[in-house]
Amino acid sequence: MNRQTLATRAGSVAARAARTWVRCGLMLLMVLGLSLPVSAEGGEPPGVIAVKAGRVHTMTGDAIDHGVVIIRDGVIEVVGRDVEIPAGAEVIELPDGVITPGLIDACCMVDFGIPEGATGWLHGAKPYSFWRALSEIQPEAPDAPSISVLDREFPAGPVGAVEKLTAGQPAHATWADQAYEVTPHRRVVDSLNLLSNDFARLLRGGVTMAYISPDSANVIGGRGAVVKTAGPLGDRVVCAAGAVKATMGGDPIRRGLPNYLPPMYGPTPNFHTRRPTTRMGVDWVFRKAFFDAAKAQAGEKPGGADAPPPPALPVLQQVLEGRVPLRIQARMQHDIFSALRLAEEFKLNFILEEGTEAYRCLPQLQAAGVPVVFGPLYMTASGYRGRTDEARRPRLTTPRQLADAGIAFALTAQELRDEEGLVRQAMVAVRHGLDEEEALRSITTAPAAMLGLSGKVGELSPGAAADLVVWSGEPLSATSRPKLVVVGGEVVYELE
Amino acid sequence: MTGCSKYGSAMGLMVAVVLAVADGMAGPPPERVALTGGRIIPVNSAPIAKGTVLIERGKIKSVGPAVEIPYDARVFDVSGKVIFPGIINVHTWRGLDRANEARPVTPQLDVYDAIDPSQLFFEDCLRLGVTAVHVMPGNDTVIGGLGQVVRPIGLTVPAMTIAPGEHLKLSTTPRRGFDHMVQMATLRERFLELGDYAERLAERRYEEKLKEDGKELDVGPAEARKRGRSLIRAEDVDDEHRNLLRLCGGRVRVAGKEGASLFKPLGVFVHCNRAMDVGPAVELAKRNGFFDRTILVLGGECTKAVGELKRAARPVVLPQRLMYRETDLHTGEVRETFVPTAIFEAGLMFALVPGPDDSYAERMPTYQAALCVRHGVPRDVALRAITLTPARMLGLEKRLGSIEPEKDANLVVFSGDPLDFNSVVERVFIDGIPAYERAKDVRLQRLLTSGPGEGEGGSKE
Repeated sequence: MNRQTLATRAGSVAARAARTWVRCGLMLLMVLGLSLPVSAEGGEPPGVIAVKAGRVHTMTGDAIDHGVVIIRDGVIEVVGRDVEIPAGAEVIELPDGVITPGLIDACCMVDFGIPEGATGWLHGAKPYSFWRALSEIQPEAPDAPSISVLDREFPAGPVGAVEKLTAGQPAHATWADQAYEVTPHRRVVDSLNLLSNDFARLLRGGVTMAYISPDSANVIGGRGAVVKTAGPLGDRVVCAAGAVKATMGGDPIRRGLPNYLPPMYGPTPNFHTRRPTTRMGVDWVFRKAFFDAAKAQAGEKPGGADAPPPPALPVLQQVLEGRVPLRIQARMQHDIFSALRLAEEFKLNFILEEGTEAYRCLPQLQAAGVPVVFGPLYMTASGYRGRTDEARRPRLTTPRQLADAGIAFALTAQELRDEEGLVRQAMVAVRHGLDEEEALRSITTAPAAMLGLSGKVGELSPGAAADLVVWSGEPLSATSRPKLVVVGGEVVYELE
Repeated sequence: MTGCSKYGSAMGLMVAVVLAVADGMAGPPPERVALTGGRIIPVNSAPIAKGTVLIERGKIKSVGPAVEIPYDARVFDVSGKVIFPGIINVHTWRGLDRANEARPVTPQLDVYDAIDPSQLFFEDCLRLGVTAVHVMPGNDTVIGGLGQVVRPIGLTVPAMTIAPGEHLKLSTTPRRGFDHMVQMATLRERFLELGDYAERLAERRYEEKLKEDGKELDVGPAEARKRGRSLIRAEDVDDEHRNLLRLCGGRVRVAGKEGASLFKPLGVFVHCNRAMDVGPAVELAKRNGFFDRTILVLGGECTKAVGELKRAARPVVLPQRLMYRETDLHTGEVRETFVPTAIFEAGLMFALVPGPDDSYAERMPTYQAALCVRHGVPRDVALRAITLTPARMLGLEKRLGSIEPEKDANLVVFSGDPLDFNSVVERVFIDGIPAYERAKDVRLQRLLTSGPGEGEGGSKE
């Protein structure tokens, strides 16, 4: 591994990521800028708004007491203490409030919480038992009304039960496409339901922007998306084609859909549905995909077993060239090492997602200059994560250790919400040693930098997007909650 | 919970407890202990900015800004810290090996037989500042069993016991496999059967008495029962019916009249998960004479029954998850109701319990109290809901729940304000014994301070 300094390595990763994001972002922002008056709902563009609060965390310097934020046309005009409020401005005054930039979740899973039930079993981590699942569905009376499960209707009775079991997840869930193991040509933005309640829930927790990460069922999965959690529909998607997501470890093994269905209830295992069943299989698929992409780049025809699907090759070539960013999810120490090993093999820069055992790999991550999107924090994992065997050695002090080691990191809540949501993750990190300012940065400016949107979101500076949250007290306090959320200069949430 | 392998063996707990206790017990515990220099939150009176708590023989002797400390007292300097009463977990099945018995009606069961002192749950209680736990059978029942208030230290259940079981567990929410009709029918039938049992018992006792005196049976059954009523003794009542009889007041009722008081009455915790379960619980309690000793354990939906709860004016225990979320079936709209605010505004007496284990913040009772403050409940009400109010509900307000003279010396030393999320429990005293010290919490330190050294040794190639 080349012993470049941390700063330059991280800088080059960020720079490359930034180039792609900025390309995405600038294009969209330009488009938005031209079309803003038309796309804003209600027809009236936001005018001038002045928000006054007890304290303003700008994230560009010291916090300002009794500060004022002036917003004009959806963009921050000026922030300061003794700022003159323009005539005709709408003034929002919350003297006890504390303003922060809108929070950014750098690895959000949306609509992930498929309720525990028949369809949840199909894609769960545990070995699937069709018969056990069938027996746990209560038999319904023949004339019972059909059940609506996740927007879908199934007829009552045993036939309906089987249909429910084998139907799979709803099409708007952001789960990975499982037709192949290598799907970097898929985009999670195509699965997104922007009207989902999940976005409202994120907004109520103060999160105004989220990088939607595809889930971890494929070795090389789809491309993520940067979306705003509120605002006019036309402005919601900030970047439609983000980083390619790869996963190390047991998730791609565990989540192979056809591996667990009994023969008559699913497609028979064949070349297209066969999944890796070991970690070495996962590494092989990753290696083969990039090897073939390099071959295609050199003009040769990829061949041999497990060739990636043809549409994947151009995207993988762009990843090899550094024009498309790469994210690798890995929880355990040896999976993080696999990621580092494979990245070195193909000279790839990547961002590490989740990194539960990153505390065990600090020197290696430091040396490789890999930024980490770390989270969520827990003592005992629950839900999907708890059913994998990979989350057994979490440490609550990991964010502090990452900060002490100088590793660039952002905190994320992934699919967790409310009392385990993003701001509470930062609160728990502070409880276990992370500096408060650092914690606030890890949910504002740090994720903004990773998404290539530094200066545009995640801070309250002139020219930045008018995305801010007014909290009822200091944001990282257990007794605080968002009182007001502004996105794009419009008030999108207000506490009654 | 499959946590045992994660956290090591129970031996670790034993060692930790013994070490913690041994620190204060080079021989028997010191007769006098003083905590000095800390901010004191007594809960039932105004906070003291800087003061001393003097403990004598396991009871609080005096509290104040300037308390004279005897020369032989063991002094703990807690300057800069906050002294808070030991927190009370008013209703939990944790501590048992399993929440419920498979059979639906089991009033004769007693958690005393099932409490496992070595459970990690009790160790975690100390870390969170909980010094009294009311262990009760779980919610999946019709009539559960008798609960018990225990302290989280001690190697045997008698050593852990704070007070003998005084509350039975009931549920009007159907247990698994039952529906509402079967649940209520079972409950009604059990109380009816109690009446039949009392009558049979009276008749039997009269016959026994006649046999003792060598006389023949001279009257019909109805009269025999009337005469036998006063002959029933406490030892005649069998296990199956004793607790139910105690719940109904401890007196047998035969032929419309009540006999002598045989047992101390029991209170009851009635589990009502849904709003529709509150009315039947109140009705059942009134009909069978235990309404004045009823505590309702609510689910999130019960804010819809706040009118009934207000009329009943009984104390309530709030659910683990304090925010109730409901999706409208037709519109898909999600409605959120913060349960404590609705209950507080109805003027009800309520207690908070720690949240679910898998939510790192909500599992702390102090965080649950902070949540209440966040949503508008006054701070002192929220703090009482984890201390004095549970003590009152359990009938132990003379011993627990606040820092005042003559109460048990159950104290928690926080590193800062209890509602500040950055505060941690530094020390716990139970009956004046130093039961927990964070600096010596081996298991916790390992979870928090493992450094890069643990990770080295892996090769990248």
